[in-house]
Amino acid sequence: MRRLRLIMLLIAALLLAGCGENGIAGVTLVTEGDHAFGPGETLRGALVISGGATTIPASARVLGPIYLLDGRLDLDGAVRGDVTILGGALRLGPAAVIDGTLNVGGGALDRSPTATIAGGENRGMGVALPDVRPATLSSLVSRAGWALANALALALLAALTAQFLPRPVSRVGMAATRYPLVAGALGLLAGVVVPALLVLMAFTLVLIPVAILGAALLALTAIYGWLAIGAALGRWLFARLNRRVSRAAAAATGTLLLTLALNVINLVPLVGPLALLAAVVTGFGAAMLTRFGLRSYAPPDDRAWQADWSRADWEHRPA
Amino acid sequence: MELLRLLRQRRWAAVLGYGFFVGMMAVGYYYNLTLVQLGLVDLGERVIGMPEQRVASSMGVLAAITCVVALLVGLAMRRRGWSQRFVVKLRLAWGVVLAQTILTAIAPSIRVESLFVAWVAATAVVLGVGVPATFSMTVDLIPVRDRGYAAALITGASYFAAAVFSSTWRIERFAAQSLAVMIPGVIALGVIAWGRWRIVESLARQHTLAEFGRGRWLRRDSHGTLRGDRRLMAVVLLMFGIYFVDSLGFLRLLYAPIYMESAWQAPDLATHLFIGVVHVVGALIAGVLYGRIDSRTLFLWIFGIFALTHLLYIDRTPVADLLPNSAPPLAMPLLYALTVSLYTVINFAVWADFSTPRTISVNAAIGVASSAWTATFISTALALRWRLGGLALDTHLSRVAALAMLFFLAILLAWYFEPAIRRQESGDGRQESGVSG
Repeated sequence: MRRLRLIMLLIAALLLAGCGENGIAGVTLVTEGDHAFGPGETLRGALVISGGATTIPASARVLGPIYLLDGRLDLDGAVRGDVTILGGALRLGPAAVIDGTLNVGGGALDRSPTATIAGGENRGMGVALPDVRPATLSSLVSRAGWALANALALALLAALTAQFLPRPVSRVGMAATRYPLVAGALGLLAGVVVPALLVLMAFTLVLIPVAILGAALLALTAIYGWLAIGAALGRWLFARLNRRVSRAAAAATGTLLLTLALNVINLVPLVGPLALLAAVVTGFGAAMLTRFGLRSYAPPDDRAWQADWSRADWEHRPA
Repeated sequence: MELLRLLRQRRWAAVLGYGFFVGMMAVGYYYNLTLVQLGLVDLGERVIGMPEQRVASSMGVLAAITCVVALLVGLAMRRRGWSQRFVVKLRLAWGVVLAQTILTAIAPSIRVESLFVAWVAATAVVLGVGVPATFSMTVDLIPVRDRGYAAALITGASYFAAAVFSSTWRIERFAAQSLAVMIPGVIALGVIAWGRWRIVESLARQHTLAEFGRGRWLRRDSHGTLRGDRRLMAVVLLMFGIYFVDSLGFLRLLYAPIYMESAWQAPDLATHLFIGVVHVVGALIAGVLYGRIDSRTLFLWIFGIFALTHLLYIDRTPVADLLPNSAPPLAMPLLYALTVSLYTVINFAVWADFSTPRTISVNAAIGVASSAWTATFISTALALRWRLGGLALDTHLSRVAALAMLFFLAILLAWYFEPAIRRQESGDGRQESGVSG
């Protein structure tokens, strides 16, 4: 019972951690009718439009991403985040400012020539190569700080998870490290298909809460897989150093090193994000392969059937 | 990966055989995807001016003849022992490529319907011979452990080439592209098949080794003979379902310009490259997973993705009607390409895994011909009937999605009840409380 309470506390902490400046847990949903922002009005968090008509005038601001699934959006204000169109119609007025990227995956776009899009425009499902922006000392220090805080938080989470779920975490870690190709392949397949399923659910409107829960579950699975890889790395490291430490300490150390290392590698354009993606999908796939660690994974053993072979099996016998 | 082991062991004949098989099948499948499936339609409708219905009927006839010929040739190969003779299979393959080269060369100049029908019939006969002859070389040239990888290479290469190099679906272009490869190919294959080469003799013995000749899913029957286990019929049925669902849906999307011109017939190269890369990635995923996870899981993914893709198209259709200039998202062709690659890899790999060198020709004929071609034949007729009968696009796709979901459900149910069925068959008399598994 105590374990269960701690796990629930962990989950709550994770969800609260998402309530950051970008307002992951703060979402405004517009499904129908006419909605006009007032002059100077500021909306914090994500704005999801799945119907109706929404107007954001020049002096209004949205501090978060905008997702246009259907309906109409007249945007003449400022958006601090990405704007993604999957359906419907978006009109970008002359004073519109998008601080992030405009992602056009569908729908219709009418853009004023004086509208500003800081991160550029992505069309279709094309992969945008990351910008290599000139780094300043303050931005580097800020990024390093966030990376360290992120790594420490994950290390703490790894310690708790390894302490209370030692065997499941161990099974996931073993699947990821012994069979990375299989885990990675399954993780990549699920990583492409499941988000599409969630988007389709969101389009039904009724299933938006399910889609949000599904997205949360997806993220939790990926984190779980990451922690398991970190725990496996920690065990391996201390075995090599011939030192005995607790499960929690090994998991925390391994996860900390893994997260920091991949944050550094991530700085390398293209290769870095690919390496990070490979690690995430491998952990995710390993979690799926082992059913979140409830069972071990091993591919079928070929040796038994290969030994069962004789001349009679391949020789031609006339009828 | 066995190929790496062969390289480390410097078994160059085996490596060359591996590469030869992958190349031959990739080119053959590219030919099938482009000239046979797309070029035939262009030749009939645009060049000769035949009505859609008669062209579609010709495609159905092609599928039916291919199926019948493949089964007959597969059986004949088994009876005569050609299934175990690599050199005979090579010479059959050479004959097929030679005939296809001639048919490809004359295709663009056909102007009369009667000649078109004769060309279709001849193509079908040649394809029917080619399926058992080429697929049965799997047991000679591809190690069992690498069947997934080899299938992935074949699938990825052929679909990538088809996506990137065939934006214009014209018979003249397909014929020119194909002949550029087939003419040197038929000469080279002729030299290999009719000459005396030590490499060929070495490859001809590989099927005697368990690492090449023994399929994964075989069991000994009461006479001690190795046979494909009962899953073979289930796989035939499932592959039939996959081809049926795919063909039934795509044959309708072909006549929806908003979806074709934003994806497979888009003017920009980037879209074609995107689809090509997705095919390659999908093929690699399937190649890695094949034989390493339960095959039912792969089938569940395939039917699930088909259902999801068609539902996305259905969801998108009202928007497309209202905003005809709006670009549909590439998510749909992405998912389509992904799942097509997944099942194509299974199709290239699975039949040999239910076979020995003796049975591969028949099993390949049953599997490829009766599942793929029969499904194509029936779904072509049905898709045409629905479309000419005025069935709306979203209704058509709803039915396809429903069919995909039915297969998905059937696999889930079979999986759920399998432990109980196995216990029943093994004669376990103990009373069980509840259903396990």
